Amino acid sequence: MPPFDRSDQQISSLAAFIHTQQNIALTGAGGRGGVGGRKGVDPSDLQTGNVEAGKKFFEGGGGCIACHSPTGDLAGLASRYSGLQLEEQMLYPRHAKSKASVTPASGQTITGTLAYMDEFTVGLIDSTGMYRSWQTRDVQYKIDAPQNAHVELFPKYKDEDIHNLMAYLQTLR
Amino acid sequence: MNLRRHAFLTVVSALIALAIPDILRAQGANEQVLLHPPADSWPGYHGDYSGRRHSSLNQITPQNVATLGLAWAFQTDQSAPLKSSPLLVDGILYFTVPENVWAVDARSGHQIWHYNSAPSQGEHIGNRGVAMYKGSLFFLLPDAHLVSLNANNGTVRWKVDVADVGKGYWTSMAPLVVGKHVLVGVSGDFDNLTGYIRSFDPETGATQWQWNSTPPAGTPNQTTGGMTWMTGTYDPDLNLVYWGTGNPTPVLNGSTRPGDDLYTCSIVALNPDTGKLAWAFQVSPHDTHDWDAVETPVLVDGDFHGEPKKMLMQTSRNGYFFVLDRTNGKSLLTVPYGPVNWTLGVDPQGHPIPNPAKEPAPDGRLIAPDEGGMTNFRSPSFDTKNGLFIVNAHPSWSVYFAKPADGVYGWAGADYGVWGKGVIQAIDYQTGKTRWSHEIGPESGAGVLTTDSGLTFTGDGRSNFLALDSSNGKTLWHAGSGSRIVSSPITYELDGRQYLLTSSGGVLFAWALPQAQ
Repeated sequence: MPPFDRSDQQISSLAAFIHTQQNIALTGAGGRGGVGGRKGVDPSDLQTGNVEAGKKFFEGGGGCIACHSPTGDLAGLASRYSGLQLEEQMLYPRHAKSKASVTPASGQTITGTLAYMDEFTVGLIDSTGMYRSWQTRDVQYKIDAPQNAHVELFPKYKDEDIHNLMAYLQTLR
Repeated sequence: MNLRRHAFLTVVSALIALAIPDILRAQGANEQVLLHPPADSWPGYHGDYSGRRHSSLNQITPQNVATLGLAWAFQTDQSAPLKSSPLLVDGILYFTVPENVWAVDARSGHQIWHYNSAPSQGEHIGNRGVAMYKGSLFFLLPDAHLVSLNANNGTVRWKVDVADVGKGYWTSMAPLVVGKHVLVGVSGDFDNLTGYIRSFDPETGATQWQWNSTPPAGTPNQTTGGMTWMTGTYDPDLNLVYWGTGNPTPVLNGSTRPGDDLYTCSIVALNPDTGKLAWAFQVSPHDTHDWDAVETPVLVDGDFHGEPKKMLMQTSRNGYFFVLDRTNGKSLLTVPYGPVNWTLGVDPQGHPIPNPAKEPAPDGRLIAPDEGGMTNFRSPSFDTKNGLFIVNAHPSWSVYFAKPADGVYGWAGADYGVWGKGVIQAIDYQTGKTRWSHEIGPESGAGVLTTDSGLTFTGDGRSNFLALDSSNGKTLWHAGSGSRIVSSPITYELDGRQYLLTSSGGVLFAWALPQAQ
């Protein structure tokens, strides 16, 4: 190897350049980090609906009015959510809390916010903020999850219903 | 024959019979072991070649499974979860996470050796396991290299290229050994690349043949993609391997690839000696939802509507259950096994007809199932006793988007799951109707194993391992595992004791009935 007649600064710069090229090669050449990765959705993509048609669906065929009110729980909705986040929330509010009522053999019913549920265990946060759990085989229990009404809507939606609902909900500021 | 000669031959025959198991053991996964796996083995990804994941073992029964206890556990001490199906040959288990292979004593769970390759490029999405030929293992690295290891000590025999990681390929599947062929598939979704299956010589690593699922990138009006993510199955009588191919690319935008996009989202039958295509059946023509058809093509011989048939069954990611005649690829049954809203029906040849109105659009389209599909990489099982195809299913809904600004390279759009749940479904293969279903909470990555004794082993979406009654889906045993389950169980018998092997997170668990100390 011939001797390098370069300053320390030049050698450091050269080393930095090589490391940069290595990083580009590792992250940019193919794979999900490359140009072919997943894209996104802009709020402007979601403006194809009709407000009146959305209001009609909300109050009529969609059945939304049975649980929601534009002046109640949904007042100011469009100030809290926008764009894709609003649409996802509209289709299924995945972070909505369920209520649980558990009646052990002793007979006293405990109610609270559902904290855990599988086939074998039910857990809730009671009114004091305490986590309590039981084996499902030992108790009677009831889960109140009104958000599951959204699941029943999926097969009934036409795509324009969703776009129209979005247009209407965006007016609830 | 005189008496002395008869007695001599009798003694020799007895000695040969006694010696056969040791001969087999000394040869590792030889052809006979792969064709007819003994009870003390699980020599391929699916166990045997059929993909049924149904075991004849019957020591663990519906009556005693409630007493199942932990025999041992093995900690990989890795953050990557175990997605592999362990191989068991000669009393030694071999299993993997990306860049790592372990050889572990199946009786005690103690490590014999550990192979760890240098950190590599490529997606580290997971690794499904190794394949074995005689005394050699075959392992794919994320940077699309195939490594052969000496099964005795984990030393490298050879290492060859499978694909160019720089272009966007990676590899994650467990190879399939058929005869003197190591069959390997490739992965990749974010670049417009050709999918293929390549056959390697197990002794030298030389390429024997390659079958391309799609034309070369850049061919006008033609698709790319059709990745071969998962391990196929094999019918030795027909000498055909069956393999699922992945989605076309660009993934969510089909404008540059008009037509059906053969052979993406297809089940293909290949001659393992030549790589020649015998037939293909496309389960999702012109896919625009990322629904790979790489779910296990399960091989079943039996009655179909009164006629004996050699069948192939798949619960496909697109939400349809398919039964094909595997001698010719003709459809016997196509029926949804959960919510699907993306078709205009099924054509006379059994192919779903995609609804153009349900292609991804700039303002979104509501689609069932979601991108993860009605099922995915997790293995189903065919319960030969009850005639049930049992799958860990995922009824789900999602919204798909694609707009001109997203381009026509790689993903070319966006999609978002909005709701889904997990259900173990037992499908009557004659009708496609669900005979029983068992809710498991959120989606689970657990595969399914069934046994002759009438048990279905799987896992729920809350990290519980489950044993269900195969006849009705009722829970008979469970154990919390502490981490998400993303692997498929196996079973084997050693020293007269049946073991069930499950994994979650980085821990492999061996379960067995109580044993006197």
